[in-house]
Amino acid sequence: MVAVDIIFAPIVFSALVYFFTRGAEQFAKYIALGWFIVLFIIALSWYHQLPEDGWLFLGNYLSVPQFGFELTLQIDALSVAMLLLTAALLILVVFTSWNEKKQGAYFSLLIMFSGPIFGVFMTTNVLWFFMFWELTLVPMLFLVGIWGEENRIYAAIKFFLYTHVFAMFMFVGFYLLYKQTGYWDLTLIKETALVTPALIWWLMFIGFAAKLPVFPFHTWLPDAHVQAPSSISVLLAGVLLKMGAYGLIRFTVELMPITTMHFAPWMLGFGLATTFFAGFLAIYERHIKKMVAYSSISHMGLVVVAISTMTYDGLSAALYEMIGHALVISPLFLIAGWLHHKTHTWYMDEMGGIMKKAPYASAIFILAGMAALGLPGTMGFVGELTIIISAVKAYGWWIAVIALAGLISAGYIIWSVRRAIHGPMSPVVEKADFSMSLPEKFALAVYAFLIVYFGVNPQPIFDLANQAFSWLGGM
Amino acid sequence: MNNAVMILMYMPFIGAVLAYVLGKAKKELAFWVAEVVGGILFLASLVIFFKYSDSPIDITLPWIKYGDIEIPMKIYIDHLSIVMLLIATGLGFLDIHFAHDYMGEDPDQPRYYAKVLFFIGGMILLVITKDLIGAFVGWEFMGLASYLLISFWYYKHSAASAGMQAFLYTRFGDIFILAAIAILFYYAGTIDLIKLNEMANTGELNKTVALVAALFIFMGAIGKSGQFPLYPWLMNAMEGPTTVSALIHGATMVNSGIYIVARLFDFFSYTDALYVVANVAALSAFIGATSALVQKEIKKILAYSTMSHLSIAFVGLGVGSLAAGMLHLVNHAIFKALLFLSAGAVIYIAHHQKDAWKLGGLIKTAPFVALFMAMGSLSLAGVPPFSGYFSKEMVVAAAWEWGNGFTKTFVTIAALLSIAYITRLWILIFLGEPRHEEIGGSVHKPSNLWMRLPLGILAFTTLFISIWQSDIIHYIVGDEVVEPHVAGLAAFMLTAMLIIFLIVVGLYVKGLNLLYKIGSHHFVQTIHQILFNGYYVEAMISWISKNIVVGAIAASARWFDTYVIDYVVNKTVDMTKWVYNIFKRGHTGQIGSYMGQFVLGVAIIVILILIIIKGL
Amino acid sequence: MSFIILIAAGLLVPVFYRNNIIIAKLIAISAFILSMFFIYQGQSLVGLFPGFAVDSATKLMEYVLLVTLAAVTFSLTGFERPLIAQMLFLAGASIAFLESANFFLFIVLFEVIAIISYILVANIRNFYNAEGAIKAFIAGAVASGVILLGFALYSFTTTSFAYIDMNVHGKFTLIAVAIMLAGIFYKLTVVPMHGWAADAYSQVNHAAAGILSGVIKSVVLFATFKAFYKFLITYPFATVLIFAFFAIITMTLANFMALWQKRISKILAYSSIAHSGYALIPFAAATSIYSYSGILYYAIAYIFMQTSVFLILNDLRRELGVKYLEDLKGLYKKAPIHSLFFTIQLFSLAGIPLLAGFLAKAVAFYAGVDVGLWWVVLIALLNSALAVAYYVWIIKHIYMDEPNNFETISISTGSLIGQLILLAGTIYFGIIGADVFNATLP
Repeated sequence: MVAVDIIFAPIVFSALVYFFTRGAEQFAKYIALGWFIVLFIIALSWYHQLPEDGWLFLGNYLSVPQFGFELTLQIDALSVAMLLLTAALLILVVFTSWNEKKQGAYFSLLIMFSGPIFGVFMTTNVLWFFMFWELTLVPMLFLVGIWGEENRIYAAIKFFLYTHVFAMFMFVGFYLLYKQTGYWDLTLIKETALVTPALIWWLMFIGFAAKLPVFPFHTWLPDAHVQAPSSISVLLAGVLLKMGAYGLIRFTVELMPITTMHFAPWMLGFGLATTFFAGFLAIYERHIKKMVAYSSISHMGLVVVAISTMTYDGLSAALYEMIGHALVISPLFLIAGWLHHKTHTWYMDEMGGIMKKAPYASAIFILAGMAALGLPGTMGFVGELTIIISAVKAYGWWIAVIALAGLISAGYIIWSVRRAIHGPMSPVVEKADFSMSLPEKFALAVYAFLIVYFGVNPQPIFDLANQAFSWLGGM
Repeated sequence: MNNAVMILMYMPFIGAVLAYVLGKAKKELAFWVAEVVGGILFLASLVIFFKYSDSPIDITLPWIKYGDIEIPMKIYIDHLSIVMLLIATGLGFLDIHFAHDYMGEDPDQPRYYAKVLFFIGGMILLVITKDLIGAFVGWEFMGLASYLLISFWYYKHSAASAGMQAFLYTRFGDIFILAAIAILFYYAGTIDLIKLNEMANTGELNKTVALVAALFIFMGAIGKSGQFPLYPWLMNAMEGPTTVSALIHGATMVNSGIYIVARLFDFFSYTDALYVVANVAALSAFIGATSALVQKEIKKILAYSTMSHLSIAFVGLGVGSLAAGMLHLVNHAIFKALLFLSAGAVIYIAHHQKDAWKLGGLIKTAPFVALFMAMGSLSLAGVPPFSGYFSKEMVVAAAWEWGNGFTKTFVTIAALLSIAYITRLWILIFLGEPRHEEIGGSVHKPSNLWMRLPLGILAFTTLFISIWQSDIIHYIVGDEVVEPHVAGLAAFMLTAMLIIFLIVVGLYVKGLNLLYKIGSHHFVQTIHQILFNGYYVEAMISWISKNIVVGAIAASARWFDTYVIDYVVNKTVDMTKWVYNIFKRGHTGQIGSYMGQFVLGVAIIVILILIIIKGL
Repeated sequence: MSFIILIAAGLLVPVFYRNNIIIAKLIAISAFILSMFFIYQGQSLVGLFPGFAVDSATKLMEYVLLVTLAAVTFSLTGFERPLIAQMLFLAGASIAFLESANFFLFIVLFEVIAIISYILVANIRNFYNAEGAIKAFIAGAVASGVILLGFALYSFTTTSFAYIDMNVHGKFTLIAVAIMLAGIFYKLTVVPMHGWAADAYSQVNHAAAGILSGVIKSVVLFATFKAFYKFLITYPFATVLIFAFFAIITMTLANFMALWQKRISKILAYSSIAHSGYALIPFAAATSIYSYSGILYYAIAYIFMQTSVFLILNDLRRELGVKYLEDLKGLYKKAPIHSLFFTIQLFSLAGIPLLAGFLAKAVAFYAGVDVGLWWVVLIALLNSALAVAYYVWIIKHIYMDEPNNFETISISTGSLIGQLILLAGTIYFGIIGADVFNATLP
């Protein structure tokens, strides 16, 4: 019963939290923190219960046999990886938004968000998957729209509409899938030895591509990420984008391998285009948070490349990079947003010399930046290395051009450090007061630790990946 | 002995953290942690050196296993590694020791020592790993450390820019190594450096793939070792503290490119990539030597000389003599560290005045430094009996024996010119009258323990290591060394060097006026400008990255994103408005028009039905 | 029995509501509950009168209808008290309409409901109300004329009016049905016969508009599907052609119109028209086994959410004078409970999951996919995504803008109970789909 509760309880619970903490808003964050820790522990216990291969069955609810529609909850290693990541990021988000205004509402929305996002990764029923997928947008709409920066409303509505519109393509794809197989359940569909028409594949791909986001469906992301409060950018980049990659693995690779094999070159093309296009955009960008946002897109392009290989090792690399991307890009977003709050400017060339006044944040920024450009000893390197090895194995030597992504990312990261962190102190920085609260420092330290820890010792994540994709072993 | 290996692997990083943390508590502790760790590292290297039995140390540790792919972390220490270890840790230790005074006034010492230890750790990692990924890790660690150290004084524009440049230039080379790793991983089935050599010897490898991989790896070496065209960062790296320059140029980073080629020597010879190595290196040697002739700053002269000498070592490798290349690397590391530390001492004495033209006459205030620097200079110039002579001679001979015309001409010129620029430098610093008022007055006195001692040790080493030259060669290469012999080359070289030496001495000691006169000539000025700016390679690369990469590609990506993709998305709003305005005309609010529409609707239905009936 | 109770209560209530609205409400609500009980017993009209038939889907629809009307009853205040009696009559007529099994009764009851709806909108307080009422009336009269014309034609071609005996093999039947459909489309506000609705829904009293657009439309939708089911499955090509065509133009046009409105009631009116468009898809897909589930689900979901938003708007209009989008600014500070209900119901209209609006669409549209109309469904889905724009725009005004003034209101108990009932319906049918499927599919 736990399984279904942790999806639906927070949705109901969040309203209660809101109304009960109206007098004492600061309690909301402790409730949220406690709840997210509980989520993490539950996810961890599932991790230990996972069978050697296949699914851990968690329950079956709300059955509608006539429509093959029921809330089937079962998880495998891939889902568990995503659940652990989500829970961990949620915990850290509480710390990084410790001093957020209107806390009652803010943390209730976060609690509310935790329900559907867990649902997305836990259910194998396609229709429920879609329902949770859409539902995650609602708290995000408010979190971006109310707590965001100056242009927040435009960004929130663009984000909501854009992803909603593209989800509709995916939804038609799901419909056609059901029509063809007669099942809503992934595991059952998989057994029907599906030969899917190109139409279904493309409809789904577009849906996931917009979420990932893949060039040219990416324009919602820079706006949403920039305007969102930094902690929410973390969730957007760390969790919401992962939904797209997760869907891509679950629905295209696992469900219709033959069709995907057929369209893998397209996927590869989209992935490469995303990586390079976004990389160049990041180089051109003066706006610090936008630069980080484009960097985020660029890295997700690599994930698409890895997924398109459709091999055991390629998908493992993709999973690693998904987690790595979440942990690496988050501190960058946090610090970018934090710098904006302190200096009141977005532009890197107006900052400069921040190292002197805020050495801690600068050090973490450099560390995370190094991870973003793939420096060994960090998660970024392992991700990039494993992806490039798998890609060469799948596509031949020419794909080694994706190593260039490492140069492009070095370009924007180092240049941004040069402009914002190093250099003589600018007047803007001189005036600013760079104090950072303890919880924020703590969260950043945790990110830094995780980046390095999993960069040096990546095997735990690969163990999960091996478990998740072992069925591809023979291919 | 395994303990020593583990110490070498982990100690620098632990030390780095300790130095920072303890240094934050009490500033002096940072230095002492670094000093102790540096000492331990050197001792560990010595332990390995002395305890080394005949077979190499080979340890395999598990690292990543994903999918069908396994990437272990392998450690492999043979003679080559031990030599590199001794250089890195020994010189590193002296460098740390020297920094006690040199960096003594800097408030950021914890940061400094942490980075230095990290830097040495990277180099150690590079030389003790067996596979290309491990090497890449060490390689990149050094890239990061050099970036952080060069921009150590980040609040200066020039230092921050130099750091950025160093990182990006070396990174440009590094991504080729990353590509090479991927290519070798699949096509050769291994990235094990030793295995690759074996496979090359047995001819198992596909030659084309191996050539591509070798060239890619050499691109990385070009970046790290400052070869043409990626050398400008090496000169700008002088923005960092001088001890850092000594570390980069002597002990660690720039040697890594040569090391990787030496390590993969069989692989490189098999693929004929050595041909490329020799030619690129000869060109770089020439560029470095000529540019060094006209530089003003002490450290820039030394930097160009580093470039030139590394290239000479590369030429040695490139023409097929591993012995010559490695020997020169070893000798160069020692005398270059000596020169940089002496330069550091000079700069320290002269209150951070780095322009050689503004110094002068320092022999009176710092005779020992002058002496040690002279010894280093002679070694660099290749004057017997200093060690530099033997290795340089060997490289040139090898080039004459096995190299093509281009290689041998350029490398000879470069080898000969080294005496010119180093003599010029020494004369400008130490002889004549002080050319700047600051130097005349008070000067820092170099302390015996912290400055003269390391200089003395290095000077001593560079002199007496000459005795063991052939031992070093045999230690590294093995018993069968084919030593190049070119009749009369030594005599020719020495004569030429003497002539050049006399001209330089004449010009700079007695004939400064003549020099100015020549210098004011228009044509000479042009050449001076070209040389001074390092053949404008930096300007070209900057132009390309600024105008092509950022100005053209990135800007057009931005344009496309803003005015095509996002424009379309945002225009949907206007589109809905446009459609709305069309539809709005139907909604007048008058019941009459609604009735009209109603009739229209009925008509549509009836017409549709009639069409269907027709079809029935 | 239910019918009789409802009509009797409808006659009884006017005696009380002048003096004591509580008693009137109690009577009405107990009438609703009683009639639900009798429907459960299977004694609504079937068994008492000939020509009626009932199946489990119809029963479910009737329960939902009565619950909704009870919720509306709870939330009415003094001004709208005549509505109580009218709703009782409406409930009686609707039950009869839903249960009718032949075209004669269908036409008669259609007219009865039309007349009740004119009475509903006749609660005129100002010029705008009057304009809306007149438009609704004239339009309704024309629709009645057309539908009678169709019925007259139809009566020539058939020997029995029962749905199941429909003569489906004549050209005249086709024309007759087409003309009847034109009249019904009018009531269902299908473009281009929607003009009156856009004005009437937004101009009459909001509570009445809620009943008009939510309750009556759903009832007509469901009853029409039942009546014409035989026709729809016999002529699948004609069905697809007519209904897909009208579905697409209806939703597209209405959504574009709604996007740029300033008056909230107008936005909701156009959204109501757009929803008619979505609801036509199961008609087009009548041959699918899911079409009946789809139409039932859509009717149920639509009743709850549409009625609810108009009732909230009614409250806001009365207490805060909210008319335009501007007036909604910062509403969450002024009326938090109203805002919450409003938001949830708007999300339901927009088709956000875990709310009835989503599952209704999911089922109704699946019927379309089931018969191969995936492109119509894609257009419909994109339309519903477009529609999100204006719903979100309202929500943006409520939560993301600062209020112009700081008047605060609290929700009345009756209103709260009513809204809670409607919300419970929206959420229940948004999560649990089993009831609808059990009622329509074996």
